[in-house]
Amino acid sequence: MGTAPGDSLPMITKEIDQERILKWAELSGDFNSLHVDPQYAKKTPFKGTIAHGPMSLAFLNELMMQWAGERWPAGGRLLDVRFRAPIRPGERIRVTGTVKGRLRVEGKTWVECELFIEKPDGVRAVEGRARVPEEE
Amino acid sequence: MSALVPDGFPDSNTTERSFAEGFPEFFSMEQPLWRRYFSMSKMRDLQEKPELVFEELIPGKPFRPLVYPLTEEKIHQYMETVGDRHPLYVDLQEAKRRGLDSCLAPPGLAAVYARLSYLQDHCMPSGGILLRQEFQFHSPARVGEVLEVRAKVEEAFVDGRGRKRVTFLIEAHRRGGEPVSTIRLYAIWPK
Repeated sequence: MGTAPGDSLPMITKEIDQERILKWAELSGDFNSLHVDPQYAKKTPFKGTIAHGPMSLAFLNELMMQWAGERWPAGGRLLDVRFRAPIRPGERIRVTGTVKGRLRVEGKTWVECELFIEKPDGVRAVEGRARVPEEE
Repeated sequence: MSALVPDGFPDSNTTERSFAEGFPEFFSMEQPLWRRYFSMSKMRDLQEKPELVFEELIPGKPFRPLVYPLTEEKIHQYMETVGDRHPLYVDLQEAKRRGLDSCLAPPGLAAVYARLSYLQDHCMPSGGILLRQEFQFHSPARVGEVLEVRAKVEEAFVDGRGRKRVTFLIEAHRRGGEPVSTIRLYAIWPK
């Protein structure tokens, strides 16, 4: 894995559809109508169903597992993940990031990355940072 | 039995009928996906649980611990849903090649057990907004382990714009006490 500033993380693409949203509802127990009920969601300001926010966190974790492997759950940090725009069924999203640099925190050296999930129109739906402890 | 009623739904049971009347949209929609994914027990749970209202969210208040077994079934369900097929979740030989003694549970499951940990006895009122979330991983959880997940309200206040802000602190440990993850979840609660 490249850890120099500016190095790209892998890129994962995901097709979001209502079936995946329903599967996440089943997995997480979150059956909020905004996610699972197209008729209800049409009447909300979102004008349709949207994916659950935590599903995006799962995608970011997948990205970090691909990039850092077993070092990720052994000490990784996913920081300041913000949900900027809804992700809708029918959208193909890109999950990726960039290495920002190294920093020393909590007595360890970390590689810090900027992560984001981008919608087809280029809008960043989710943004955050990740830190992975550098190998000793 | 109506074609719109999910398999296993006891059509002659009046209690169940009352339940169905509580979800007219569910039963009027001709969406096979709904029937495929929504078990009646989960829908019943939703109807019976009270909403978690802001007034109950007192800083420091703990929720009862969630026992969360990392079963193979759950791992496969997660992998199928997310599309995350990392070999370390299922390939023991690959795990051993990397010096691990067993397969790992997907760290992204923390996004699932974090929410469940404060909603075991309540349902979420509609209209809330998940603002921000943070994860710290301490040690990898392994397939077959059982996690104990403890959530508490860290902050609950009304901000300068009149929004009800809530922060949950969620800590997962494996049995024996070793920490697995610490999660902070920042939300705006519905009015």
